[in-house]
Amino acid sequence: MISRPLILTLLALLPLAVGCGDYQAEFVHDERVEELQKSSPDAAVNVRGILAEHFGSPNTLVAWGALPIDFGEISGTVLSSTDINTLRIALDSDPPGRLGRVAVVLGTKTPHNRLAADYDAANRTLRLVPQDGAAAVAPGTTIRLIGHNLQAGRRLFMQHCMHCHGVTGDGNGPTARYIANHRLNPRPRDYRRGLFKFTSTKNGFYASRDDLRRTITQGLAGTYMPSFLLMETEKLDAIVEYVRFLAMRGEVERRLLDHLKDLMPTADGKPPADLKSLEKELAVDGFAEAFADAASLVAENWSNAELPENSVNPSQARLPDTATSRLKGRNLFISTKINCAKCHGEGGRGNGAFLGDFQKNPETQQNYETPGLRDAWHNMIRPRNLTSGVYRGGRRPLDVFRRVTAGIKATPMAGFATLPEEDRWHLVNYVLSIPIDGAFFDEHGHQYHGGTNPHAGHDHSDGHSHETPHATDDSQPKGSSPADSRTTKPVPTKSAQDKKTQP
Amino acid sequence: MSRIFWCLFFTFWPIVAIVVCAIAPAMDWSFPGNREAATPLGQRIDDLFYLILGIVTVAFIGTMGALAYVLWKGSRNEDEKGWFSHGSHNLEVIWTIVPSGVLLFIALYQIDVWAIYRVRDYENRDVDPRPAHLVAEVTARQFEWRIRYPAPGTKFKTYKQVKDWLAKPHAGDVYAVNKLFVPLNRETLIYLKSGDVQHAFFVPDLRVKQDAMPGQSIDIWFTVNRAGKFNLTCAELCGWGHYKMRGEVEAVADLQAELRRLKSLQDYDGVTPPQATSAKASGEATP
Repeated sequence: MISRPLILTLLALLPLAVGCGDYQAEFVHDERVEELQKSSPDAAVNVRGILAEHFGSPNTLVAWGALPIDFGEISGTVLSSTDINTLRIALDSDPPGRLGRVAVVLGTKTPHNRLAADYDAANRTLRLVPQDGAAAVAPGTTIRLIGHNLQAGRRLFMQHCMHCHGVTGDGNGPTARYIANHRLNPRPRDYRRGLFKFTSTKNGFYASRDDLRRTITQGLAGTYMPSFLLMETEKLDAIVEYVRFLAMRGEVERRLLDHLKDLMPTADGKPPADLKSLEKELAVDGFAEAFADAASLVAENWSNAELPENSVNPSQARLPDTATSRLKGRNLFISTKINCAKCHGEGGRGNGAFLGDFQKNPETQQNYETPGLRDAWHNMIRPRNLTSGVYRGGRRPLDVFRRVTAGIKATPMAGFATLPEEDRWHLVNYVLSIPIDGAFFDEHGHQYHGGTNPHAGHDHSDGHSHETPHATDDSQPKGSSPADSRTTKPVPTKSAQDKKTQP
Repeated sequence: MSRIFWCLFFTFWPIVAIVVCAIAPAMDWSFPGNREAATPLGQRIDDLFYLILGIVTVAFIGTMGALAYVLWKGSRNEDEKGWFSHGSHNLEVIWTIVPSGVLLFIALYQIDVWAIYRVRDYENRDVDPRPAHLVAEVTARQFEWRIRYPAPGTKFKTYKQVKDWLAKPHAGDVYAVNKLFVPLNRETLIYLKSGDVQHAFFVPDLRVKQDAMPGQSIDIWFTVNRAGKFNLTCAELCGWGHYKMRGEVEAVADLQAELRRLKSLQDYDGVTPPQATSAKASGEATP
């Protein structure tokens, strides 16, 4: 008979075993696959199968060479083989950290693919996952290990990013709902459209690696995307590659489903009338080609984002940040030519008139049920309050210039690349001055804080005043004393118009 | 037999505890980083810890020695009956007064350090030195540290100027995230804010820990006297990403040069190259 203390001890230790199960994360399919399942189960099986074949699952990722991703590759030579599944190898470079279940390509002429189980760096011993029909490996065979970078990216993504962005990168991780329910903050990004808001690339182009890296290191100020500034460069690069991998996987799936849209159930929930012939046409005969087309289009888009000619770079330096320049920017801001104020508001508070309009859903061509601006994911978004001094995409003049030129991708914030470059710099100067000096200009061209009358309602109890709009005190360089700069705040006169406000 | 076993048993464990304490510094089980505090006040805080450690050690060795002695003596003595001491007035008085005296001593002795930490260092000077030493405003957010420095070269004279600066953005402000530069060997004033929930600004090497409260600007006052980088962590469980609030405080000899460098990165317009910067350092500023 088992003694009572022993039973109690075992019960007490039981909680330690919680979470020990062999949990396997899985990629979630687009919800349209479920729809497809209802009308054409065979097509849904084909979609799941081809995605699993080319992208794998989180625990057995596939490094598909058609994608412009740095999977991480190390080459070397086989020294000897203990048995079919155990090799001693010499690698050209040491793998950084854990190797993971990388792909092993043996030989060059007729490559033989295996999967690594683990690698003992001290003894230079590589164990392979047993495989039916595997042949012995001769010493001297070249060996390539592919995918350690993606594996590292996956591990880091699961630690730091997954809880918001989700295993699949669909912006639907377990903590996403706490953010989504928060009226002030945008939802975590759903990567699967290949759309990223803050990029350095021209309108219509995807995000470059540097853009993603910048978002991760700097975070997105004012949102729940935090900064990972102190993360090591190689870890950062691995995460960037994994995010690109997820984005490509998701978009290929979306495009494949677009190709199969005629197979979806009709409005009354029934399969389409000529299902069999359509199935043969779309999900059998044209399927592999459609998949390859989707993948090559996605690959091309992501590769193009890396090309220097597709990034937005000003050809001339920022124009001096003078009152004249800001006034020109202000006049553009409120002009009907580019309509900034229609969303951002006359005072830059992000409360423009367009917010009251109903927007059209681009997918259904119907108006949304509630008024307000929407992004590509149909989320309600607000134009930036430019008086807050928080710049999600960065506060460098270059960043704001890029926002003005290329817009914010996937949002109603359009780019104004056709505007002359000087005008864009005027806008940058004006926008950057709003949090400090206010959005309004009076009849003399002087900036002042909100309200209808620039000279009323100011608190002069501090003994200073700036009721003289033509104060000529520009001996005090701005920024040298914040308190002073507040009281002798930019009341630039004609003579002081060239005074730089940034020391 | 069993009496001797229990004598040895209760003598053995105090000895183990003392040995572990004695070898702790050599084994890196000591203060964070196993180093001295990098602030003068932190060194005084450490001294207080060592003082308390000394008092506790003496009390521990004394009581454990007495216990071992009594056990040993009793186990040898088969004849005498135990003395029932419950309700002894004298004993009650002694073990109330002696620990009270020790606690009172500690309470009075540490007042000085606490006073310096919160008030006295500037209270008794003719001119309040603190506004002149304002270094930055640190805003703890879920899950990062957003930092704002005044424009390089800014001199504050009064609290009113400091308050004005804290109230809104100013021209020339330098923005950064997760990495805070402070001057070496100079008094440093930091204002701590919270963007959402409670956080705590904790730099173990500096022995600085201060909660950030939503809606308040809380001043932190210290002097770093050793150059180097120190870990900055959040010491108040602030949410599911609490562990992500990894930051760094770096003490530099020339803070203004550092700020000018960050400022030039922040002013980058894509054409005019920023001031000479090391490749590694770029990207620190301008979130």
